[in-house]
Amino acid sequence: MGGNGDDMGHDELLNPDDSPELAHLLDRLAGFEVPVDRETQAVHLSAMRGVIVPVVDLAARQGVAQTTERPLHQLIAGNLARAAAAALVVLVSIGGLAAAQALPGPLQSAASAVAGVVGVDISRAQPAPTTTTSAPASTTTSENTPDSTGPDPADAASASSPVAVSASAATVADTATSVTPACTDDAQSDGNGEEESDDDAGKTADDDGTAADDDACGDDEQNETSSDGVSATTAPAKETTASTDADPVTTVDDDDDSDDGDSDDDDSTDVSDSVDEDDSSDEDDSSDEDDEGDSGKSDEDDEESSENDESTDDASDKDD
Amino acid sequence: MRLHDVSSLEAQFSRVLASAKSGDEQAWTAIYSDLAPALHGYLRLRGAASAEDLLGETFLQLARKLQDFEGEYAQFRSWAFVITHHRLIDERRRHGRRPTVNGEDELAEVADPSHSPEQIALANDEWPWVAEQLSALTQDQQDVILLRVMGGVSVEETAAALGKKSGTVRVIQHRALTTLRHSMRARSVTE
Repeated sequence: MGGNGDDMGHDELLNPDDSPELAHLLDRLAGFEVPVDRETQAVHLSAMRGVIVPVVDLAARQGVAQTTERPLHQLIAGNLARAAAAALVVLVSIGGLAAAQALPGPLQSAASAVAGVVGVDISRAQPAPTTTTSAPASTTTSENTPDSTGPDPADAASASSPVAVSASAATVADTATSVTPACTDDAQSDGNGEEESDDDAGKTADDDGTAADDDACGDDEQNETSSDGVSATTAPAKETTASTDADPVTTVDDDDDSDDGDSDDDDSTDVSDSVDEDDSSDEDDSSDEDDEGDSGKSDEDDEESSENDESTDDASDKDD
Repeated sequence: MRLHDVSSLEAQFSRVLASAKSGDEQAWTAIYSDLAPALHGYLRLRGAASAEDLLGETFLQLARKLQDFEGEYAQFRSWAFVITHHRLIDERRRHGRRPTVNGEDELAEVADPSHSPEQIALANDEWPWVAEQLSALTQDQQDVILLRVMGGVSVEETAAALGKKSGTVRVIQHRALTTLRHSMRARSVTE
């Protein structure tokens, strides 16, 4: 980000014969600020604190230095992948933090990592009821008798049946889906996750931080997107299938289609749309200018035609 | 000439960034204090309906993503402006409105007595003149000029933020400057 960084100045925008007024205007713009009142500052800083603390806690707990999503991605992609997946499924399908508390050490750590990303503190959970913590059994069992009590949750950490845990969660049908896994899904699917493509802080202009990014990883909206009417027996069944590929989140992602539709794609479209709306007016304005200011700028003339294309078709923006 | 003066944050950005990543509240406060007024100014100039809210959302996003950031102050500033711009786009989408042309609406808002004395003082400074000059530009031109000049955002990053090609951004920038030149010339002749 930042392009030329320190070497960049708006002198480069000026011609030698430009009026001092124009230089003055750019100076004013470069330093233009509107103070933020103290009350607003306090609110903003307080809100930021709510984000920063869980992020830092996560990094500390996992012993992974100062990263947020990436460590989680690494965790999931690494040797704790199945443990994390199982822990995740426990959280999602059983829906009880209490259940996560009853998990064995490594599994609970993984669950904490997943929960920490979305700001959930597992350590605060109430002791788990027996019926909830007794998780799942093998894949076969869980499919046929989703409400049966299965073996120790530790089994979930085994490579072969992490997601089978989820099948026991019939008692908490309303938490069958959550967007939380969508974040981990990305991480598992490509090793980097959707977050990186959008948030490449300090790397590319993608940034960013449109609402899509928020959706992708751990916002409140996650809880709002539980799939309607998905029974516990249905969701876990799909997850069980996914678990065989060590990609339990794929199933969750399917459940969350409605949520995904609110994400990055929308934002990118919005950016294009909003800009395109202006294109037409810009071009109208510029028609006269071309005769004067753009002469000798063959490259810009070329770009103008492309700009025209963009303004007339939103979809073409994406193609470009 | 720099896009912005050397700030205290810029002078010690690496250390502040590291502290912020470790959750140091003072570091975050320093970052906020340094960038918030400029980002707030950007939102005001662009006619944001809820400038303070968008500013808060911007910093929340910065907080979420800071761990991934690697770079210098100028890059950080550019990144913050791009995020701010995207928040602005989100707002426009939510409200289903086109951006307000800089001018009377924003002038009235910034000059609102409910604002702090500092803001009022600012409004009485050259702000009306700046807004008047910008009003000669189209929205695209304002987007490009403000991101480039205020945020120090590169052409490529501006293009990405606006969903355009780099060459298109250069064209828009060129036309914007041409428009400003003509506009200022015309005003000086008139006056």
